[in-house]
Amino acid sequence: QGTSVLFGSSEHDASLPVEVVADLLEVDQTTGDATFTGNVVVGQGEMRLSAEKVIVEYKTEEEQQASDSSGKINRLIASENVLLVNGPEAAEADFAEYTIDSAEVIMIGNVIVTQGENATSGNRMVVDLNTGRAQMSGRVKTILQPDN
Amino acid sequence: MALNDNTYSRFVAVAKVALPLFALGVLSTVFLVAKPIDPSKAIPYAEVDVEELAREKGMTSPEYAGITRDGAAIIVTADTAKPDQARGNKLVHTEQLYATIDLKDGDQVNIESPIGVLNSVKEKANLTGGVILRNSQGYTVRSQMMDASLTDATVETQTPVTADGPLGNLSAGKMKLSFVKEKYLLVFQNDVKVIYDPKG
Repeated sequence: QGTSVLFGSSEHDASLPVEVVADLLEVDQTTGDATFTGNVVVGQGEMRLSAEKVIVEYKTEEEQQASDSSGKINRLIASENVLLVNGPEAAEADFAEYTIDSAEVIMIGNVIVTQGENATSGNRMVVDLNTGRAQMSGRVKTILQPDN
Repeated sequence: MALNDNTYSRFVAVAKVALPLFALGVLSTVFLVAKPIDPSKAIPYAEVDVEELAREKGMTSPEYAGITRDGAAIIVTADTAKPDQARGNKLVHTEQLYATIDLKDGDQVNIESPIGVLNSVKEKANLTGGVILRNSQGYTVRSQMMDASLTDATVETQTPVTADGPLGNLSAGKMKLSFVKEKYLLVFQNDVKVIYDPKG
């Protein structure tokens, strides 16, 4: 159904603080929506997710009760030249959705994973940061450089 | 027999002399034991410069209320307010200023500032001395100085800002709260840094 790719060898700890650096942050006074724009870099442990725009999506009431951690953020939705770097691997895509508590990054739209010489591309990739495994699907193409 | 029937009158004769002497003795101790009275400290005076109070017009716990162009209600209260004589009282110096801005859709922004200078011509308030802004989203923003406009609900800082709220704790070079695109936006700029702790 899809190609599984190794993505990021080191152990990822989902409970580490998440640091977001950006040029600008807009918080809507009424709804509380927060949007980072301009060279946004989301960092947690080894993982770096950079993009031009990141929207913060908070947990709804039910999700808040359901989840064990009392953190308020459910997902970070990154768009406009998204780059995910975790250890030696890097992945580019149009969009990425990073669910913090489950440490899962879903990358959507011409995803390209480069590992040293090899490159794999596809439409969609789901990365589980905890195990370092990624599941690529949708017209997957792999280019292997024979080391001549 | 005569001897013992006038013991009572002898007792009275002795008492007539002894009791007044005793009374005199007690009376004299009043002045011996009493604390020395210092006339200068008799009435505690208030250490207030009376001339200054008389010369300067000033208000205690003044209140200013107004509606901004975009329909937000602003209420400003302070402990004291003194018009600035030098500049033809265009400026009003206030201490311990509290401003409450009720935004259109029920949200509220509270601002606390030790020192505030209200400029009635430009209708701006320049707040200094460590200003704290709180909004109903649960954000608390701290900065050294803030400028609040009294005509529209705009608050802007020029000095670095630290804040904490639902997003975690945050630092930025500048903050501006304003009415943009039909929404009140709290905008942080100049290398914004947010640290969010998933464990909450």
